[in-house]
Amino acid sequence: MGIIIDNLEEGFVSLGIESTAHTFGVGVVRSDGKILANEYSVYRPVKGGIHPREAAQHHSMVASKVLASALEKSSLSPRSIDVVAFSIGPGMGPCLRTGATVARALALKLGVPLVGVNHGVAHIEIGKLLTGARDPLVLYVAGGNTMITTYLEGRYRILGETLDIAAGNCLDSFGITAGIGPMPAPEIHAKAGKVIHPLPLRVKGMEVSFSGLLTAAESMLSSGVPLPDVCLSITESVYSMLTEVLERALAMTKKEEVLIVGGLAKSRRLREMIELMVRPHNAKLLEISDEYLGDNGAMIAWTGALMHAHGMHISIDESRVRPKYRINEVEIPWGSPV
Amino acid sequence: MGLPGVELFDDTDFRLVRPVSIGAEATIYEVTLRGTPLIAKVRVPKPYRNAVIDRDVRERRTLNEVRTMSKAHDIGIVVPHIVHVDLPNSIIFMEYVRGTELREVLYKSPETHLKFAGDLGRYLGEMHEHGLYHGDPTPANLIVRDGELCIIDFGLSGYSDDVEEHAADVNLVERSVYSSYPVMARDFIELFWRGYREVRGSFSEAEVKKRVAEIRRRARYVMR
Ligand SMILES: Nc1ncnc2c1ncn2[C@@H]1O[C@H](COP(=O)(O)OP(=O)(O)O)[C@@H](O)[C@H]1O
Ligand SMILES: [Mg+2]
Repeated sequence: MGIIIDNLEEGFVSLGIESTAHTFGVGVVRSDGKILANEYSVYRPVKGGIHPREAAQHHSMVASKVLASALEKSSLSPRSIDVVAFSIGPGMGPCLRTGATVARALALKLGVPLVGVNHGVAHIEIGKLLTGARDPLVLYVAGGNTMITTYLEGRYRILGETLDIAAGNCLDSFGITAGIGPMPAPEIHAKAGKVIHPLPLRVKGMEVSFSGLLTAAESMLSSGVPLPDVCLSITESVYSMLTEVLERALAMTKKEEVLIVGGLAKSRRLREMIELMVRPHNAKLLEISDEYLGDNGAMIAWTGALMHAHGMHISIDESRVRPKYRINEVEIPWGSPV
Repeated sequence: MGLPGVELFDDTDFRLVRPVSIGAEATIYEVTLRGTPLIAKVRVPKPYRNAVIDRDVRERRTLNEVRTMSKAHDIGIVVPHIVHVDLPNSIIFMEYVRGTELREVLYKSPETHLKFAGDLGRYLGEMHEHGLYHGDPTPANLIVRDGELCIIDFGLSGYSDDVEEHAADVNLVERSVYSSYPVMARDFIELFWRGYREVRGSFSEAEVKKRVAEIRRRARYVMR
């Protein structure tokens, strides 16, 4: 672990702030990969989906508390922090700005460098750290992102992604329309489902599209099909699509390690399907505990540590958030598989 | 011979020669039918998938593939000839195209083969112009035989005049070329569009280009 930067003569400590969507998190990580703290607070809307402004308000309310408890957990004084990292994008503008503001203030106060981390890269890097994966094929599935990616020549290349909405967004939205709330509610209700009704699976090579599926499932529900059956049909369909495109990518890249990261990676059923899929390819699905699958501050801190070790700092002027920041825009000087 | 349920022919008509490719979705065999070499494309059941979804998917894809292949052939695109279809078992018997996948050709001799970018542009242009889309037009699904491009793997194809489907095709071309051949990608895509424009004209080209860019930018989030 910490393969690259434990070569540095002196260790250092990185503090990372996550605030792209519903989670405000602060993580503290040492340069050898030891996670010292991972604290967070999640905004849960009373009704409906995430409203960016309300989420941002939540984040600014909890920020100092989460920050304080992360420092306490790490048993470090603020003076031991050597670099401050924050998720600069992609994500919801108001949420990102809240995290960025906290990060700027903290970096200035401590007089340490600032690092702007790509949220998607961070999901992958924490997965690699925790599993020891060297050159994995990655499925990144969450409420706002769905993509298949792997490292090639200096960057994470996107092999396939959603053409419209994210897989998590599809299931969350369905749950909200159906009155049961976002994931994991649809998956829980699916357990009581008996009959599967085929839905249109729009797959294009390694790309997927979920908006047609969402509409079809919603109209299936309003036509009187029992809720558990619709839940079973939509979850099985979404997971089948994801597993199918991941298998196509695996057959193409012939990778030996598979990582699934992002909030939807917590789904037991999705993991089970992928586990079954990878077997005949002589690949391994690596396990990451739930705490580090969803959005968290530790992943930002760790990626911040990698970037700090490679001098990838930004000035305050350059720290404007990037709501549409794509994973393949980031240079990954540490990514080369050994 | 290991191919189940082939009813039109009896088992002695076929001989299994060898597996050619074990892909994500299908297993491809070389077989002979009364001495003639053919390809058998078998869509195998996926144990990870629920049985109802699995059957539905395999049947639909097999049907799509034969339908669009015949239509593409009619409009002058080089595709393998279909010999026989066993729908209940999701097997297509077709001509064995003896050539090299474009994927390999591009790795081995990148510069000399940029000409295929234009050919691909013309092929997709023809398909879109005739209301067809391929659904997976990547270099693994193109075979180069005697300097000529042949398209295969029509399982994800369909009929549509919707610019969204056409843009999704081009998006895949761009994506697969950029991720596998970053160095030559720019040239390849430029030549691709040139070929596409030759067939469809600059108006359609601009319309599809615009939609491709839009797909890339699209917010991946809806509100409920
Ligand atoms: N008719 C054919 N002639 C020669 N080779 C073929 C033919 N059909 C398929 N192949 C080979 O098998 C590979 C996989 O076939 P394909 O139809 O693309 O299925 P899939 O990608 O779903 O596994 C192709 O990339 C090609 O190398
Ligand atoms: Mg193929």
